[in-house]
Amino acid sequence: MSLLRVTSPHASGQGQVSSVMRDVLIATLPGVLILTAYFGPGTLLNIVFGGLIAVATEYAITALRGRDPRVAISDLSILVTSTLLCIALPPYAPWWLIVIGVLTAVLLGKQVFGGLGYNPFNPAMVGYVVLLISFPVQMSAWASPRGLAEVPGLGDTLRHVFAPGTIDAVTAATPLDLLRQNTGLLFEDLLTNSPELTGWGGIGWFEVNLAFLRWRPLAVVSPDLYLACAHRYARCPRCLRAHRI
Amino acid sequence: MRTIHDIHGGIHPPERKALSRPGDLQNAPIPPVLVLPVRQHLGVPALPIVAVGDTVLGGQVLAEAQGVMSVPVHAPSSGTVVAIESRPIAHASGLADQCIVIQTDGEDHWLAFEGVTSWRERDPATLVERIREAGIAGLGGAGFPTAVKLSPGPTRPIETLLVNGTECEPYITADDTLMQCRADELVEGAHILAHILSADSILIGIEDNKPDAIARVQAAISRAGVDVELATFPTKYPSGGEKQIIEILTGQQVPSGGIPADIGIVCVNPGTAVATQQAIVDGKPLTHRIVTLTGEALAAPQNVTACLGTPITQLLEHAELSVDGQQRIIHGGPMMGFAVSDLNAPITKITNCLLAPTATELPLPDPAQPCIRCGHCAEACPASLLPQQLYWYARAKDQEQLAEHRLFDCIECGACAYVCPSQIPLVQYYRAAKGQIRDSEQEKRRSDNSRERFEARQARLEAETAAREAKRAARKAAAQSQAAENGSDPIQEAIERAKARKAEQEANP
Repeated sequence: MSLLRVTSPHASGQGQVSSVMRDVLIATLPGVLILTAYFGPGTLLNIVFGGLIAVATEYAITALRGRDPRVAISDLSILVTSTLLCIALPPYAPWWLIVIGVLTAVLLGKQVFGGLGYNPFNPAMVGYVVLLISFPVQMSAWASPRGLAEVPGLGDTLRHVFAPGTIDAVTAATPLDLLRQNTGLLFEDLLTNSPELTGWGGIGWFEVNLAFLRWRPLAVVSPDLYLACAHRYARCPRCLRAHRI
Repeated sequence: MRTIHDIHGGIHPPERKALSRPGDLQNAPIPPVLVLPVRQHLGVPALPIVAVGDTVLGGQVLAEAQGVMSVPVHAPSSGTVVAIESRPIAHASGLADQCIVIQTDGEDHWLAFEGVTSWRERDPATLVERIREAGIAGLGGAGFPTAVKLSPGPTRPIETLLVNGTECEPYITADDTLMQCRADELVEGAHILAHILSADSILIGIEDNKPDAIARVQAAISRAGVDVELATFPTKYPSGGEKQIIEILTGQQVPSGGIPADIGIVCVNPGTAVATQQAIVDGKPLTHRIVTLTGEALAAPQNVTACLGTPITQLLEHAELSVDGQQRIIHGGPMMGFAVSDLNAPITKITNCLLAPTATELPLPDPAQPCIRCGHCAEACPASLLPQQLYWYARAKDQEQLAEHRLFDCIECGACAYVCPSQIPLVQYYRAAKGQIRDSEQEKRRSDNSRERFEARQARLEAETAAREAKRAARKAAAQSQAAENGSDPIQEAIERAKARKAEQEANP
């Protein structure tokens, strides 16, 4: 019998990095569902496509760095990065936008600093910021929510993402457009009468626009909290009036 | 009813306490050879007063205390001293220490002891002296000399004696067993300690996962018809830390760097209270203790009363250790115990548990992954520290920041490492950092000393030079004044004399 010499504690919990990351992924589900409900399968496609690119990039880079790529992939951190980024991108964003964003996040946000745990900034937000500065038009081209326009099916979605420009029916007037072009009506009347501001689709628009106007800093800290707040805010007309929107 | 407070953090590891059947106490056989380290306590080692070849009786003093921070060592059975030499001891360092080795004769003859039943009429100082002479050091794990703890000094009046029956660490049931089997002695021992300290109240705290111990102690309190409060509180690791149980039961926090006596509390282990009772009422020194033998690698896990100095291997054999290949033997519990490096090392006053887990029971940790700053460690820390920050600063060897973040308030309970999803051995980093800080403090003291020495020498040399100068100046002044008085100059006269001598030599070659 040989004696093993290790230091305390000898017992350890069941925690794994992968289980922490898995929990984060589960926590994004409600937000993803809301986005999908309003905007159709675009967000889901973002997440799946971005995830594939991210995993492939992470695999290649860790292999190049002489680490075990399977260990790097299995901690699921790369899926958290790509999912957070892809939620923040507009649904039906062109494929190259997703590719550039994900590559930036994985390469410049994470791997150049030494990979998991050594990144000074949130890699997903690094990718997001680079995209927003470089491609403001594509980054602000949010589709119309359900209720104002037809939400595209899967086929249309794929065509829109991978062959951008072939479909142009998914954008419509936004509430901000409505306010800009409004000349006679009081805000209260607009709020109760215009289809863009009422009902299912209108609320969806509020959520997106309000989130961008008011809670962007929060989004950096916690995308889910930010979506939840946006949702609450959009359902409260008094809050809206208080902020003169 | 006492308000039970909650402490920050804490964890709930699997308890595994039923494995060693708490409450069922057996006697371990007297081993053929007893190895008694002269330091089984915190402080100065005891000085051997027996020689090789001496025959000794059970209870006889083998080594005397040296100074205040020291306690004597007694023979746990009769036999012959066969060696006084350096032997491996059960210590985290794996180092050896001086031990008195006794070959037992199997007769187990004992000295006759004289106890004091009327301890209430005795002066506390004589009782403290008896406790010191009985070799009692804290049986909870630190081995702090009890007599020192019982002398907090006039500036620290003690209100409460707290008996810490938490035993929060998984697997260990030695205190549980002791409270079940020696409840009456425990209550009387607590009274003796409170009498010594002139404490107003006695409080026994037991975690609520020990219903049998709670019932037995409650019964003993009613039997004794005395005013002792028994408080139970929810099970959580590490509620049994001294500072933690004080906060749980009183809501007060022991100041950082302070001791419980600073807030009027003295906290003792139940084993210490029972040992005190035996030392005072029976006059019996501390020669045995209860040890939990547990772990799935043992076929017969149990609690035993064992002679101090029994080699670990004997006890493991007694509990039917069956292994081949690699085995971890842990002295203490799975959270704070250390791996034993030599099975011939003996158990001492601080050995509450020997744990022999299988590889599936307590698997070795996976390789550490990078810290992902999840913050679970900060949620688990019972001392409200920031383990993650401490980890980064420990890696950077930033001693200033480590002090700023209160590294020395860390009790090394291991809760942070337990919850770490990256399996980082955090406690190891903190221990290393503490060691480095102690080293550099010692280094600083040494360099301060040598600087002072150098400066003192410089000052002395300067003073000597100045004194010489003063003397010379005085001589010169004296000569000048003499010249002025006599109208002659001694130097000029000397020159004249020399010239005259030279002229004389030239005249008579």
